[in-house]
Order: sequence, then C-alpha cells, then structure tokens
Amino acid sequence: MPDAKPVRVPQETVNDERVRLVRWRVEEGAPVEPGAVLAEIETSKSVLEVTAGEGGFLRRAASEGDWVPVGGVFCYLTVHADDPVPAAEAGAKTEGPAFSRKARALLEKEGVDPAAFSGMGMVREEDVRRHLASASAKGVRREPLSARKRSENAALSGGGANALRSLAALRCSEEAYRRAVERAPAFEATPSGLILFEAARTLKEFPLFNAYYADGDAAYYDGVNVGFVVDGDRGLRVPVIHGADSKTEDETAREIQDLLLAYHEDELNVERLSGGTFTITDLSGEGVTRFDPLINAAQSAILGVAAPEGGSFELCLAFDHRLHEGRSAAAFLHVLKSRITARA
Amino acid sequence: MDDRSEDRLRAALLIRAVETRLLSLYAEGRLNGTVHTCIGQEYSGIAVAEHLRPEDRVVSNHRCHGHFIARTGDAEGLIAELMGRPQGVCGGRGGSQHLHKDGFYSNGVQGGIAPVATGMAYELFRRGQDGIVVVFLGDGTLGEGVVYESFNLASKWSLPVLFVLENNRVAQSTPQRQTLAGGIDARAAAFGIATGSGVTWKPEALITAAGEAVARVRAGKGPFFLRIDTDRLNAHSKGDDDRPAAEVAKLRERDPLHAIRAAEPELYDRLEEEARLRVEKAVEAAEKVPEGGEDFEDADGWRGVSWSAAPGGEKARAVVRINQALADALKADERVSLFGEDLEDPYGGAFKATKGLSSAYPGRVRNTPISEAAIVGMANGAALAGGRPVVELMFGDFMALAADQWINHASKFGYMYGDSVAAPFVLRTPMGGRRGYGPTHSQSLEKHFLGLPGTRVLALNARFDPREFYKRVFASLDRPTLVLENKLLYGRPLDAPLPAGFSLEISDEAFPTIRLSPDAGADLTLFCWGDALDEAERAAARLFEEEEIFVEIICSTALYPFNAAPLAESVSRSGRLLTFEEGLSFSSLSAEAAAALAERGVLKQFSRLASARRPIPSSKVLEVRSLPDAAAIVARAKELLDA
Ligand SMILES: Cc1ncc(C[n+]2csc(CCOP(=O)(O)OP(=O)(O)O)c2C)c(N)n1
Repeated sequence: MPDAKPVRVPQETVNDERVRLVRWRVEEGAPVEPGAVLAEIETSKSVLEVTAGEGGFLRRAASEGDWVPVGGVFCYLTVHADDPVPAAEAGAKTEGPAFSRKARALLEKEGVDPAAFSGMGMVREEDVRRHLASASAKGVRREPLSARKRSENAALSGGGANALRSLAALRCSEEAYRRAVERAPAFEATPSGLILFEAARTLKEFPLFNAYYADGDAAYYDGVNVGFVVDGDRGLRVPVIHGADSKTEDETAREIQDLLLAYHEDELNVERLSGGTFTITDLSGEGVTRFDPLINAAQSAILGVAAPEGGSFELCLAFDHRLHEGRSAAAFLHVLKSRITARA
Repeated sequence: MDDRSEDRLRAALLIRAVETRLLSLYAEGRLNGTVHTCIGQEYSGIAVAEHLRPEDRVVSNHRCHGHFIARTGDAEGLIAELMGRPQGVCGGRGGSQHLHKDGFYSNGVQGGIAPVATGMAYELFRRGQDGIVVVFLGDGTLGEGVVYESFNLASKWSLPVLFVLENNRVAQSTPQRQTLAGGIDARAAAFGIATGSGVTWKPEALITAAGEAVARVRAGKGPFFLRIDTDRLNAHSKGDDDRPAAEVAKLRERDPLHAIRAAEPELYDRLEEEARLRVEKAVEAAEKVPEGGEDFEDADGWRGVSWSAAPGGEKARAVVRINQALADALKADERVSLFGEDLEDPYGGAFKATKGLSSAYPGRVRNTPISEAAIVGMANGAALAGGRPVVELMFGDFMALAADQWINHASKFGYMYGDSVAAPFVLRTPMGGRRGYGPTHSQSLEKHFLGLPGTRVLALNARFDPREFYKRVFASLDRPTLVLENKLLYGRPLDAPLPAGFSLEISDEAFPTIRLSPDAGADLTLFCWGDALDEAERAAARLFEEEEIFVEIICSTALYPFNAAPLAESVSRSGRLLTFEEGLSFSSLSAEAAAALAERGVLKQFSRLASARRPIPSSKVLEVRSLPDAAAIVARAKELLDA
C-alpha cells in the first residue's frame, strides 16, 4: 500500500474541466477521519465539499484559489504525518521561453543551457542550430580534457549534460573601484563597463574561461565576446560586445551605450544578442551582496558584480566545474581585481 | 344622430374613402405592393380607439389601415406612406402593413404581434406606468401557436392587454369552417382570460362592449379578449375574392354604413364627400414629393484597428462573470429586467447564469413558461415600450422557435418604422456541443442569424472578461443584440495560462477582436469565434511544440456587423488562412470572412474546418468524430503548409 494516497478532484458536473479550490477545511499535516470534509471546491454550478474516503494525514498539493483539473490531485492522505509525498504535478506556470519538441531534443543532445534563449519567447530547432553555429562560427578550437578532469566530471555529473556549477567570490575595495572609474572618464555613465573592459583582457590570460565544455572536450573560442545582462522593461537580454579584448576604453563605453539604447528602443537584433563567449551581470544596483548567476549556454563562466557592503563589494564568478576549479577561478578573480585596483 | 355618432360616422367614411382610393390608385399603377382593405370592418377600430388614452398602445396586423386612422387620424401620413413618399409615416419603408406613429405599431406577419403587445404591456405594468395595450388579430390567426403563448403569459402575469379578435370568418381565401376547431371565445377562456363580444353591424352596442373591455383592462384586472364579429366586404387584397357574389352581397346588406345611408342620406352624402375631398388632397400632396426618401444601410464593418496588450484574466469562471454582469445591469438601470425559462432561484438558470438574481432583484427576474417565441416576442415589445429586457433561451437550438421574432420583428422595427424606434434588447443563449446532448441541443446555429440588418450578433470567449463585455453591450445597446454564450465556456476559468510563448492582444473595437500571436512571424492565421478559441489555442500550442508551425489566432467577438480588417491584416502577413468553427460551414461566417478577404485580394492559401455535414450525434465517440478539435486543426494546418 502506498504511504501517500492521492485525493483527486471528483467530476461533479459535465461542464467543468477544472474546479477552483476555494478553501481548505483541514490544516496541513493534520489527521483526518474517513468522511471528514477536506476542502471546498467551486464548480461552475456550485460550491461543494470534498470529503475524505479514508483516514490519514492531510498533505496539501494545491493552494486556496488554485484551479485544479478534474481528476487531478489536490492533496494526499498519508499513513504517517511525515511520509514523503510526490512533488507537485507539473504546474500551469510557464516561465522562460517555450521550446519545440525538436528544439528541446537538440538542446539536450548538445548540452546547451536553455537559459541561452532567455530573451526569446518561442524557440525552434532552427534557433538552436543558429545559436550553435554562431558559437562555432567564431572559431572554436577543441582540446580533450585531462583524464583527471574527465573522471571527475563523470563522477560529479553522473553522465548528465548540464554544467556542474560552482562559485568563487573575491572582495574588492569600493573606494579603489571608485577611484579607478574616476580615472577612466569614458565609463562615467556605465562604471561596470570598466569591469567588462578589464575582464576581456583577463580572459586573454585565462583562455579556458573563454571556452565551454563539449562532450568531454574544452571548446575554446578564438574571439573574446563579452555579453552583459540587461533586465529592464524590455525583459532580460544579453547584448554582446564582440572582440571586447581589442576595443579601446572609448569604443567599449560607446558600444555599451549603443546597446543599451537599442535595448530600450527594442531594436536589439539577433546579431547583437548572439555569439557571447563570456557574460557579466551587474546586480550592484539591486543591493544584492552575493549571488550565484546562471552560466549561459556554450559558455563556462559568468561574472557577477554584487552590491557594496561595509566598504567593499564582491566579484562573484560562477563557473562550470567540468572545465575549471576553485583555484583557477580564484586566480582569474585576483588578476581581474588587480587590473582594476592598479588603475586607482 | 348625436355628435359622437356623427364623429364615428365621419371616421368610418374617411377610412372607407381611403381604402377605396387606395384600391383605385393600385389599379392605376400609382401604388407599389399590396393592400388589405378593411371595408366593412371600419367600426371595429373606431369602437376601440374611442376609449383609448394617449399613453395607450395599439398593435395591429396586415389589415391595419382602419385601426391606424381610428387611432391617429393621420390619413395623410398613411396615404403618403403607401405611395412610398418620404413624408409617409415611416418614410415609405414600411408601407401598407408596417405602420408606426406615436403608440401605434403594425406588422404583417400573422401572430407575432401577440407577444409583442404582451411584452409592451409587461413593461408598462412592471414599471407602474399608465397605459394599456390593444392588439388586433384576425380569426385566421387563431391558427398561430404564438398567440396562445401570449394568452398564457398575459393571463399568468395579469398584464394590461386587450386582445381584439376581428372575426370575419375568412382568412385570405379559406373559410373559417375549414380551419377552426372548437370555439373562439373558449380559446381565451381556457387561459383564464375574460371574454366579451360585439358586432360591427351594431356600432352602438359594439362601442359599449369595447368600452367595458378597455375599462376592465385599465382597472388592472388582467387581459381581456374581445371578439368582434364583422364582415370583409372586399377581396382579401386586390381582386382575390373567390367567395360567391351572392354571399358577399348578403354581407353588404348588413353593412352598418349601408343602414346609416338609408336613414340619413343627406348627412351621409355630405360626410362622404368631405372624406373624398380630404383623401384626394392627400393623394395630390403625396405626389408632389418624389418617391424614395432617406435611406439607411448597416455599416459593412470594415475598419482598421489598433492593438493593445490584453489585461490578465479574472480569477473566476466565465459564468460567474456573466452573472455579475447581469447583476450590474439590473443594479444600474431600472429599465433592465430578465425573463426566460428556469431563471429564478434556487435553480438560477440551466447554466446558473442568473443564480441569485431573482432573490436580489425580486420581480425583475422571472420564470416564463416554455415559450421561446413569446419570450423573444415579449422582449421586442418590452424594448419598444422603453425597457431594456434581457432574455435567455436555454439552448441556442431553440433560436429556431424564436426565429420569426428575431428575423421578422426585432431586425425590422427600427428600419421599417423609419428609424423612429428600435427594439434594444439582449438575447442570451448558449450554443455548442461536446456535452453529449445530441442533435437538437448541441448545435451552433449562429450562421442562420447573421447578416440581418439592424441586429447585432456577438460571441463571448474565455479571453475577454464577460463582465466587461456585457458592460459594453449595455452601454451601446441600440438594437436587438444576440449574445452567443457556450455551454463549455460557462465553466472555463478566465485566468488560464496562455499557450507558452504566445502573447494576447485585443483590438480597440467596442466588441474587440482577440489576437493571440507567436513571438515570431506567423506561418498561418487561424480564425475562429466564441468558445472555439479554446480548441484553437490548444492547436496553436501543439503546432508549435510538435510541428514548429507558428500560428496567429484571430478570434472575433462581433459576428455581425463583422469587421474582417483585423483578419485581413493577419492573413496578409501570414499568407495562409484556416478557419475553424463548431457549426456547419456551408454559408457560415467563415465563408463570409473568406469572401471579404478574397474581395480585397488578401486570400491565397485557404482552408476551412467545421462540423461534419450531419446532425451532432449523442454518442461520445460519434460526437467527437463529428466536431473538429485541436487535433483536426493540427492535421489541417500541416496539410495547408505542405501544399
Ligand atoms: C405568418 C403568416 N402566414 C401567412 C401570411 C399570409 N397572410 C396574410 S393575411 C392572411 C390571412 C389572415 O387571416 P385573418 O387572420 O383571419 O385576418 P383577415 O385577413 O381576415 O383580416 C394570410 C394567410 C402572413 N402574412 N403571415
């Protein structure tokens, strides 16, 4: 006998495909006797009470106000108060883009993170191919990983296709950063542009952070294309500065501003949104003092800029453990930090 | 002869002079169409009209000239009307059988005026207004069922309506003995209606009888049935009298005017000449103005629209919002009342749309007998009397029983009465199958009611809040408005998530077009209306998910007048149109929409999905096979794209 007996919404009228859960009549986890009223549901005809067919501990699977499909589970009755219950049935919420069946299959096959398409509404197989092509079109050189890294990956991921995410953070002096920006007037309007500028150069020193994991290989990008996350009223987008390592401060600052303008005008084309090899996300304005950003598809690291606290702020580097480890991440962060503070 | 009798004689001679002249005008080719003269029956209208007050209403039939002149005295307006002149009482649009002036209304469809008159009486009575309603019916019309629906309702609701039965014992060519079973008065008596009678060849006694009838009704004693035996001395219309000459000659002998002429030749001749001159002058005056006055046409509907993001759906089922909308209307406007079958609490309507309303608004929400024609007929009458009735037909299929009221009455009043009145009312009814109700309770019959000038046909769906929709309906209620609900729609939540990746917009039309767009250019436009939107949405989601086909859905809420512009705009982008409906597509809105697009050169690749060409079966398996669904849309869309 299963320990968690599902209680389903009864078919009360021919009309209804779903009913609304109006009110719970039993507390979460409370014991109920057979025949006890569990909840009130609203059909298109009336509000009805649903009673327990047998006794047990009530474990809710829906909240008041939710629509529950007729025949769907709205709670469980368990034998013991702490028996495990199945996770909620797939909810109605759909966040992020919708993927066609073929697109999803390709994503899984190629190990692309769906987040790479976060700016899109509907993703077809063709879009995934384009994304993969834009990654390879930039020129990718593949080198097999060391035997040690491979076996570590297999152990950690159990053969799974997704990044093994890890995070390293390094504190920077707020004062030093402020002075560095003062000395780089091009970045007056967009101070984190300075971080982008220096990160691009740091990536030249650490090419593995400008690469991604592919079927046991490290795929290195030839170019350094740094994307930065914009999340305003046009939704989340990641415009990309191509060849960021070879642009001057002025060029970098101007391009950032162009991209921001295009974002606000809703004119960011696919070109300017694709081909990123590394990403920066700046949440310092949100008061977040540490975070663990999601790595984009076909990349292996993302740099988060957190908000200052007690005179310093953190540079958070989320990285794919299949390519990197804490030590190399720390080295990357130290070089980046010293490049910035050296300007102060 | 006393003054009053002389006035009556003057009126009778005027009526006869008008009728006689109309026949000669017709013979001279100066009159279009047809006339039904009341020569021999003049005293019936005169006897009743004498007891009426300005606030009373008179409803009449095809043989209405005498009633009209007796009531309004406007022989000139009548003659100009029949001669098709703009100064006619209805601008020449109504003609002989469709007259309207002040509280007088006639319609040449037999029987349908009975519920219209009953509805007028309902509205006056309900709102405590003075006035009674008189309706004239011929004895041949006792064959129409809607007359009895009206007797029943008028009696049950104790309404101030006087049914006057003009018993001339012939209907067109058919003698009463061939068609009438049972008694005449017994018919009314069976419904508990008090009866009385008179004969036109005894005018004085008839006037007394009519006076008593009117007084009773006016005193609030409910309806009354007055039978007036009378003689039709001329043909039914023109030259179509097959009765033996001897029989008609015998009737002429008891013609009341015949008797008066013999008794008072001088007076008679003087008044007859007076009438003849007045009629002659009226004919001359009419002819001075050319025929063909102002005219009117329903807008073709074509209008470019702009779009805005649709507000999020309410956390409620459609039926709850419909219910709230009706409560809003009852609360906001005294003129609003609801009637139909099974509306009252505790039942609250077959689909619960009126639940709680009869308790919250006592007397303003009423159960009717099972009388669809009378329900809609009474809505017509109540609307003409200044009300804003909202009526429900339990199943859309039963629109067929009310078709005469919708097609020959509701849609015509405004235009045929020269745009001086309209019948603004709301008729709500659910269409649609998928519930196993079988051939006669599952249909989507809207196509039969589309395209009637002067009406509006709307369809609700789950993506536009019914409460807001009805608010707009009431705010712009200027004509009979049919709102199609749907049995499955009632139970639908209004806040169901959109298919992933799609965005929802509404147009700026009063009754908006709904647009569900994918985030990239559509490969196909899917057109639907009403609750078909639900299957259409499922199909759009599946077409993307399974086939990577981007579909844009255009869902209209205004089916007539219909604006094809938003659809054309979408199809001109996508290049392909698939229409989807639950009803039969032969001559339906999908055909109309395609024609509108073809006329503008927008239609290239096109296909239609609709119900199988058979009645809707009851068996679940057979029904599913008969009604197209999301899977059928997916299959057809693929075909269309592969073509
Ligand atoms: C519904 C309907 N059916 C048929 C007709 C055609 N029609 C016009 S008048 C008439 C005879 C009506 O007879 P009755 O009701 O006795 O009135 P009368 O002509 O004798 O005044 C007929 C059949 C009609 N106008 N409406």
